[in-house]
Amino acid sequence: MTEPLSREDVSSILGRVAFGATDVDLDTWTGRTQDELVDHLMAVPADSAMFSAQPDEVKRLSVTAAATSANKNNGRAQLQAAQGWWQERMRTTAWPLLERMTLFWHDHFATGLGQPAPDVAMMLTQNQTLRTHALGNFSELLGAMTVDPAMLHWLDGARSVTGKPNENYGREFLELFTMGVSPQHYSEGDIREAARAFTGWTVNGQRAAAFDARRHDAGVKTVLGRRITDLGAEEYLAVRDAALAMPVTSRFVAWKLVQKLAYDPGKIDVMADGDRLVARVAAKLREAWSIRAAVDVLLRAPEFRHRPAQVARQPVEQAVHACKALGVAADAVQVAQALDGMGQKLFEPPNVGGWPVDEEWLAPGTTLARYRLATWIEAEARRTAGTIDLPVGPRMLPPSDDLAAWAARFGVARFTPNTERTLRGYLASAGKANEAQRQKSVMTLVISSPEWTVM
Amino acid sequence: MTLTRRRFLSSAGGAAGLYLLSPIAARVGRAAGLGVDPATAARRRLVVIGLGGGNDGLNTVIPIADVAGAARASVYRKVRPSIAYRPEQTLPLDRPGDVDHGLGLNASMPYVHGLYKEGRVAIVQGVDYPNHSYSHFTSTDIWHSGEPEQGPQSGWVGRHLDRSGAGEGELRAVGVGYRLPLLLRGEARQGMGLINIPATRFADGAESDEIARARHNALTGFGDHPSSEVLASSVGRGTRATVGLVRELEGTTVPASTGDALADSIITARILLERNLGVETVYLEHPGFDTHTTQRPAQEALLGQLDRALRLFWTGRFGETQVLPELPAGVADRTMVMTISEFGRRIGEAGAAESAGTDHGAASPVFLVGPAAAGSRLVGGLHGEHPNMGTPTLPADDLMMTTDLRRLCSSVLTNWLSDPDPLFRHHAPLPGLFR
Repeated sequence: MTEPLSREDVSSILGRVAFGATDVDLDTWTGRTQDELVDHLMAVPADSAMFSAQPDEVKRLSVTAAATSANKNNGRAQLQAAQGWWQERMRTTAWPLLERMTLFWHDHFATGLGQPAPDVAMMLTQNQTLRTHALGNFSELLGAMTVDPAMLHWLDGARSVTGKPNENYGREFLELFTMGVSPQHYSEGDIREAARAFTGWTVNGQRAAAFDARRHDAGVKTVLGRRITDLGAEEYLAVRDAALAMPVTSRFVAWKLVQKLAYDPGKIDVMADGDRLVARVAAKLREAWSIRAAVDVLLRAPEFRHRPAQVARQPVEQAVHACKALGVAADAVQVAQALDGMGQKLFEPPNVGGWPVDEEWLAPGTTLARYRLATWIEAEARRTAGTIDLPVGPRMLPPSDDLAAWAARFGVARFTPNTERTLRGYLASAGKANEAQRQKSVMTLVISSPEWTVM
Repeated sequence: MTLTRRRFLSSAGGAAGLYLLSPIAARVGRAAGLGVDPATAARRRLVVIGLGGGNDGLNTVIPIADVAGAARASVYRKVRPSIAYRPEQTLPLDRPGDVDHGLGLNASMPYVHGLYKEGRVAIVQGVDYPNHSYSHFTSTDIWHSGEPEQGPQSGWVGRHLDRSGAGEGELRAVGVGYRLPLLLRGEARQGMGLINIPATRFADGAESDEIARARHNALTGFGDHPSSEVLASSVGRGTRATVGLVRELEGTTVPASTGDALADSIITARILLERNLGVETVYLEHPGFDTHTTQRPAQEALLGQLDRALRLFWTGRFGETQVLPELPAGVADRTMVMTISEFGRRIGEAGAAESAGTDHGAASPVFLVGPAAAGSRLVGGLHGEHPNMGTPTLPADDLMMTTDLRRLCSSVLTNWLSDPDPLFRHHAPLPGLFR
């Protein structure tokens, strides 16, 4: 792709995979090529040790066995600290694509807090595992999630035993994590047999996965046509490999990557009339299960730039982008609370299906919570303006009537005529509002605008 | 799963729905005291409560005795050694004159049991659809759409909104929660989602009304010009509808939170139904029924919540507190509550004995709770047949459909909302469910 990127392209691409563009990003990347921008986004170290959690970050969360005990309020404070930590990491990271993909996998392998488990400590361990593999190998990620302590609690693997296997993980493993149901290429029998193979894995007192042979069903199983005989603690890997061998698996995972990062391909038979971009991403993924290679194909595709439809950004992407635009820290409890009002709490997805897509984010509650977030960020920016904390520290608000500066600041290439008219209309009718109130209004309107919400 | 959710917007008509239901002018007019058409006040109302996750029917309507030709209680106790209820732990469902059904109600539902004895509760047994899906997501969509064959396109209440044609300015169907359920999405019209009434306001802090209003007015501008992008248009119209909704609900007083999510949603539903806004259907979500493990305490807590919420709905009482007045006669006389759940659960228990639960199953009972019996169209009691459970030596694995979901939807639409759905023309209303 040598055609230079337009300002709209930069806004849209960074809006979807990097928590939004800044004004500097728009100026830097407009006129350069898609490949150059993708090279930049993909410059995430291959060695995951480079981006493991910083010790001080973990310390700050005080995530210890004692702190995440039964005390419910303490647990709430822990959760907000963990949410804030990740939100701020999304805002300040040098590798936004890595955090965006970690969020993608949190949504794909949607796991949430439970009573009494998984607790915040387990969720943070899972978060780090997701980050380690976010651009790594899907086969390894799938194996790691299958025996992840939070997942073993969340989908009841930890309480599944020989003779009475619990199907919960087996079902979602096939339906949501690997093969999908469009079309369904597995049977109820495959679910039951997979559930038998998964028995024995549990979580020990140190919050680590442990295999207990006495709880494991040692009998022969047949999953997706593959016989599994006496592999003990390795049987989950045999089930994983059986699922990966199914052609529909790479198609389904690719479909989801396209749906969340590019455009919704709609309800299609992913095998028969699959979207062409889905097919290409799937082919790359299937070669060696390299997520990095598959995402690379997706991001460099012409269809990633010139799409049949836009996507609604998730609330957390909007919140982090708004904080980034004004240099306001994203770890405040007010940000997590606004996200709660918008229906997206990190580490607490609505269910194992993950978060909704597109117009489901557009309910009135979401609009109102975003308004609340805007008023908080504006006040916070004003409160902290002037303190020196570059390059991600507070920045002055543009004058209320400099609409081009507002668009740029919020990563919008240019306002649509209707938004321009709406903003000008406001300024003309703002009456007694002083400049600070006008700025607040303009900011609120910008982050309520269609072109900021949908990219 | 999220595979299908875009489709309802794929037509221009679908995109227009939210807008049609909530033009500002109509709302502001009503807020100014113009009132609603008396015809809308006379409509029958429907409150649907979604028991999300798949409620275990067998531990809700519980086999307590074998009956002629069906050793249900024997099978039940055999395959559920850890989680079965004993007969004396249940509330009897037989009423004077009934044949012996050998069934008891979960003891966490004393209020519903009382209404049942009064003849206000219909329990429709064995509800499911052909080629049952065990997926939460697929099956929820089918329960909402009533379309097991073509795949879900729209909700059966949403299509009623389409047919009603009179959506202008109406807040006719409301989903309480973050997501607008498929149930309330039609092809051309859709309901409105709101989280709760106290949160349905703008956070303007200490700003003067005039300063804040100018900003709110400006927000409506995003709905003025549709974009070629479907979603962008949706944002614009949604923002404008939100401003209308906030103004509509401005000044509404709401009791303090009960601390119980379902009870709070019921309070929201009551206020919407009582305020003469034209609200006809309200959908509430009561999640958590996916009881793969430690089912008994979990399900008892959830059914107890449901029972307290229904009591709050009709009596206004929550625990010892009178949170709201009794449901006013004009609303109580014409409101029916219906529970739905994407599936029941399997007959046998799963997992280690100390934490046993049940996996996803097929057919399950539906509860309909109507107005006080005199003059009510709803016929209380058990309806349909209990699904076959096999024999103690050869227990069935799952409960198979005895009542087709489409006939139940057809009944509610035809006999309660007085608006038959052509899609269900081959699925006659259930005989004897309504008078």
